[in-house]
Amino acid sequence: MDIMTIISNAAGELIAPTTAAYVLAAIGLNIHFGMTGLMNMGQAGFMLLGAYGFAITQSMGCNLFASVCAALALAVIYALLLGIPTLKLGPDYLAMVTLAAAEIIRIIGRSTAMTNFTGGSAGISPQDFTEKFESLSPLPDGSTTFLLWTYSNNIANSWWLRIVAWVLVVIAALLCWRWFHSPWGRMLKGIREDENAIRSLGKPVTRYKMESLILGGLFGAIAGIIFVLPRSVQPDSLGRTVTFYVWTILLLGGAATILGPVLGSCVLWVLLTFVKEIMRNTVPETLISSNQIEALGWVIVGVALMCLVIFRPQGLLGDRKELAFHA
Amino acid sequence: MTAVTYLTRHRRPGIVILCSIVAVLSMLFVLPPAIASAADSGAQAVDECNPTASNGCVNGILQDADKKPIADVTITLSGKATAETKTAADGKWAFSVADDGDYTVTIDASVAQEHGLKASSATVTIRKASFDKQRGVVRFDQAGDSAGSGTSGTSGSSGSANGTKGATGTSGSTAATQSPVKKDGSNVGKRIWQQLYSGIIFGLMLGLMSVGMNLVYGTTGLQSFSHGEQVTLGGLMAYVGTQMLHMPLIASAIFAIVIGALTGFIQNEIVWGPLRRRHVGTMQQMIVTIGLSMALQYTFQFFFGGDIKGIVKSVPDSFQLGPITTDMPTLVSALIAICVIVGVTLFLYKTRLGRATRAVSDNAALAAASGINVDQVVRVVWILSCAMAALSGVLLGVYLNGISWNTGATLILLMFAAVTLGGLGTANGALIGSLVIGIVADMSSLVIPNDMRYASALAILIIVLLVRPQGIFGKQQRVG
Repeated sequence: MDIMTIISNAAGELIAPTTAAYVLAAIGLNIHFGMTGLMNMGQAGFMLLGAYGFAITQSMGCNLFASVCAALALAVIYALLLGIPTLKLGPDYLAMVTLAAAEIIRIIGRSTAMTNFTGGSAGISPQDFTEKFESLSPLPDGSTTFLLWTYSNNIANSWWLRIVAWVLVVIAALLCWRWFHSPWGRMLKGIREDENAIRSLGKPVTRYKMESLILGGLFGAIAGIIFVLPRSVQPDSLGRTVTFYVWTILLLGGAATILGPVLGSCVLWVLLTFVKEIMRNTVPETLISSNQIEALGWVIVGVALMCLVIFRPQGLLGDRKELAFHA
Repeated sequence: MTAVTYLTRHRRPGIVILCSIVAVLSMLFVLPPAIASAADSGAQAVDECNPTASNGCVNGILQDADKKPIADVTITLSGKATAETKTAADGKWAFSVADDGDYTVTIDASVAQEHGLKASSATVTIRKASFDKQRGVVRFDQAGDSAGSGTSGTSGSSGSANGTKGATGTSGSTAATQSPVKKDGSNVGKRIWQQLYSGIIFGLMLGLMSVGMNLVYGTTGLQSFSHGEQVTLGGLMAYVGTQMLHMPLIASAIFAIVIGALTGFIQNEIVWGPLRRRHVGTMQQMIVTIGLSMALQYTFQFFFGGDIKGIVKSVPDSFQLGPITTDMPTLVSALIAICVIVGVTLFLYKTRLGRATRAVSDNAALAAASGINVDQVVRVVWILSCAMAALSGVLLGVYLNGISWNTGATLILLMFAAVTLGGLGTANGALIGSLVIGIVADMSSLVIPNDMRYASALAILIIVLLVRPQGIFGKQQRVG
């Protein structure tokens, strides 16, 4: 494999639907953490619920709109269930509850007892839920080459999915930009900076936090749908590690910024793919197997997350003063 | 320490089980429970065998020296009953047997020679009532008992694996710790006792982990996500000790604990200490522990691979203790866990340093003002907590017959649940919390599907936060 293939593979991550899904999840997390200071450690839970809500209703034969609504409704209910007991408590409590709840969803989803419903750990295969989405595409059949990349127009990991995903990202970023500069957004920032001050103004702090949790969760659910469309719904692929990835992306790009999640996701995936491809092509298989390269990729992400938080908590774009790490 | 010695003595070469079987077995257990009809005929060949109250299993996968399956070989069963079968395309074969006793499995000696197998017959003991002898797994690819202890096995990872027969029931991964006593209806009471017992054992090991984690939280305010990796590290280091360096179990356990303590010391010196001095917030530090946990976990995977590593190769004899089936290493592990926890409690309440630790826990600034060296205390706490995690990793590895790269990661949430339940920052609370979580997790598999049992433990976490966020022993004012 020559250097061009490596570069085009790595650059392909730039527009991959998975990258967009992570952007959307990170935007949701940005509303939680960047704007409101909520430590949501279970963004993958929102994503998995969204994915299940969408895929299960699709496989039951609902139309696309109803399925998306189902996914969003699940996320809202989930956020309410999580938020009511924990939002009054300290930040570490919310962190633990969201983490545990996301894990509960995954464990229940992958349980053999739920096989009829969620497909157990094997999950829901794409032909059961992607058909309606693919048939909605206005693009002709076949595949198209654009610059370096060739993808199918409509099927699976397609141009159609890329277009939809990135349009959603643009919409989400615009909405965020509006919200960040609205009175509501300023209220959230106030809560992030000093909850008691806001409370002293007679504002219902817990309600605002709840709104933030729900809104960010909705983005998480949409991210979940985009995440599973090019593959299948597998509970284990949306585990804790996805949450940690999303955190890395958000902190890399910069919390409390509009473009931080976008930049973070693109940089992380392109760099990670690049490093892994380079290693695959230069290090002989006998020395380091491909599984080990996969593991090394994770080690890199972990170390990157540590270094980021220690040395540059504001990330690439953020403002250190705006950083919302309150113990 | 005497207890550990006992474990070592128990590694008799006679009763041998191979860790490589563990993987095969855990796969077998994942298979849906098959029909258990072969009750009254003495023995019969089946495609797949699952032990029940009325039948045991003798089975295996016939592979050549290169681990390729050998199809269509006649396997003869003799001993208590006789039967014959042929291996399937994937090398699998199984007999369902009705009576307890010794069974000998034979293949044609020429076949064995042709495929580079070291033995052509093997004997297993089946005892239906004993949950680790319900199933006998036969291997032909290793030297027989009579051939002495053949070392340096074909697969480099299982160096000292030797012997031809293995009989095991509870095997392997954290996911497959269930006793394979199938739902019978008739012995519900017995199952309740068995689950209660395994819950207590699990709770004790969890307690060992979460007490240390809670000490760290109490003194530094840090919720360490990488504590699970400290547990894994302990187990894996014990594996390195027994299987790579060929040390006895006791020495390996000490080796693992020393390494664990050392990592605690090092990470406090180079990561957490400097971060505290820079007044980095605890939430920020928590995210650093997440990064560390990811990095460590995949470093383990890098070096040790994705499979389960058995610390000890032998499966001990189990025996009946009232309504409970257990074995010696399990009891000894529990005893060690209790001793260590009692020791730590005594340390906290009876020694000067322990009192200082509790003082720092209550109010670090005040403790520093009254002349306590807070840095010293935190250092000791980190070392202690990581050493305890390593010990629990060793015990867990012995109890579950193996440890894998993500064992700790699957347990970290249960530790959080235990710590929250008991009360954040209270050492005794963590123990009580762990016992409750362990018992609930294991008992809940009586009513909900087994693979959902951790979910019940996590549900407790959420319920506790709902009704009593400070936990059982926590102080009210900490919250909010």
